[in-house]
Amino acid sequence: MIAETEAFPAFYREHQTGLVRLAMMLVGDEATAEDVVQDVFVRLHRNAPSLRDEGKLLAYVRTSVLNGCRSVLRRRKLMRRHAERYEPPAWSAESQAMLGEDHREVMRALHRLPRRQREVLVLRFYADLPDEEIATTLKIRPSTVRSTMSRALGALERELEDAS
Amino acid sequence: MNVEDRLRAALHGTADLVEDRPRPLPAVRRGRGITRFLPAWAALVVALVVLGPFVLPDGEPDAPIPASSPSYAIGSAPEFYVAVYGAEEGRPSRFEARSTATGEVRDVNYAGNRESFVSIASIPDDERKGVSSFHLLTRLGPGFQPGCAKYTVYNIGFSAEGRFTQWGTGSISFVALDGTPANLATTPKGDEIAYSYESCGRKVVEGNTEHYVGDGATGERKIAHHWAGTTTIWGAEGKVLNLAYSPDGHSLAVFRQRDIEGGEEPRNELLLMRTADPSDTTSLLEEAGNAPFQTDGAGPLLSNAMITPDGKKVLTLSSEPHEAGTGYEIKESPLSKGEARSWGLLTAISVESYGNPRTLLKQHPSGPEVLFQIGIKTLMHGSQGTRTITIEEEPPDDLAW
Repeated sequence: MIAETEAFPAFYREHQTGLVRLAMMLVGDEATAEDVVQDVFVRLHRNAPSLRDEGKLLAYVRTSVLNGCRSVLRRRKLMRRHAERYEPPAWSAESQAMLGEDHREVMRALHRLPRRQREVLVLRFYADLPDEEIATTLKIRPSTVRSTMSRALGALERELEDAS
Repeated sequence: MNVEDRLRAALHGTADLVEDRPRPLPAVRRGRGITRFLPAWAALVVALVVLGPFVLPDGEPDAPIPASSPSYAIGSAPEFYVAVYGAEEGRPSRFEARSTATGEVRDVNYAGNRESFVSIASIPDDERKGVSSFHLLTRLGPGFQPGCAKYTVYNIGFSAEGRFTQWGTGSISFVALDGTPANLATTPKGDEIAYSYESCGRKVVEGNTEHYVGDGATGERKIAHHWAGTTTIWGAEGKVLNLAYSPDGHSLAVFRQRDIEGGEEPRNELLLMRTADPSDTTSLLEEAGNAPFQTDGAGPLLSNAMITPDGKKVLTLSSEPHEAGTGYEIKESPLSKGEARSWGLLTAISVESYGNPRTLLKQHPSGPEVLFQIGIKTLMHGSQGTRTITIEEEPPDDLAW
């Protein structure tokens, strides 16, 4: 099992930036994205799955990162009433991130979509995953990936038209 | 450009905000083996306690602890303390675990990835569970705005002997004016975090109006209190020199050099601020009686002050120059309401220092010992009196037990 071998730190080094970037798409700020990824690796280290194939381990970790992001967003929703401040998403007007206005607009529109549509679009257009891998990551059928993708692109287009 | 191309470009633009850099893989303590065999261990311990006097051979009696033993010299103080050093030219930032008895370095950890350690606070409840853990305020690197930097608070852990064992994830992150965050404080459980800093805002001009995006105008002194994913921020109204939580975490004791308008000398004061409503403040020095400290050079200068971890006393470190250097005194006064306040002298020492060197004042979270820094000297006051632990040309930026 990779998570219990010396290859584990190398696996972490190789994939951590990509996974933090993936989490960043969904939670909006780097610090939270880093937390999500590190939490996943801590759990992985404590409770290693029985996987010997690095490709399967990456898919497993990717799913765990998405689950971690969902937990963060759920927690934020609950906290919003009380929260006075948390790091604004990179695409918000308050953020000081160096992101172009068109990119901000697209990211804001993306984040107005339902969660599954948003995740499908990120896994396809950022991670370049094929339908089958997206299906494995999100634990849905490939046909559902295709229909969700089609609806998500239509919805995103409408959101962008409404915004402009 | 169609929607797919715009989306792809936006996603990759957002991804590029995350720098490709090494991030520490958190160390994990694996306790499964112990818990799995806990019933067997418990049975073995019970058997030894019951049968031990009958079945174990009599050995040599324990040797008496020599009077010069380090454990005797430090009383109930922790075996080691942690000193934090910022980056120097040609040397990265580091934190060191040092023996309380001798000052010897037990372990050292250098910062990597352009990070720099700033301030440290111990988590006393973890110590009761047999773990020595601390929150560590760390500068991560420059921010997007000139003059600003990104900071986080890591959790680190040490073995009972002072060996660095655990590097946890950052619990919070924020942007501040570079070099200004300091005075990290936390509650006994470590679940609330406070620090002082200067803000790093971005001025936006729209037509004839100006406003600030982010954290107000740049350079405003602030105090941040973080709990349960929420950060409350308020103006410090002066330079903060020490921060400590009350034991219940509901208040912060803020020692600050208050800005006085009209060119007068700044006034040093210790205030207890309710974190839920920071405008609700109590002056602890006034509460503690007529504070015998001056700011106009006519008497002892109050260099540092704090509330004790049990919340029952105020500790002050004051200084007064004399012919051979500077005399320092640590005094304490009880805070129980309804009683007449009186100041007791804990220790008076003379240090060959002139001017007004930086001082640090920390107390053992569950004992009476005091750890303090005056210029280049690290000292400890305990039941055996006051003694110098170490003298270094490069004094630490912060200390914690």
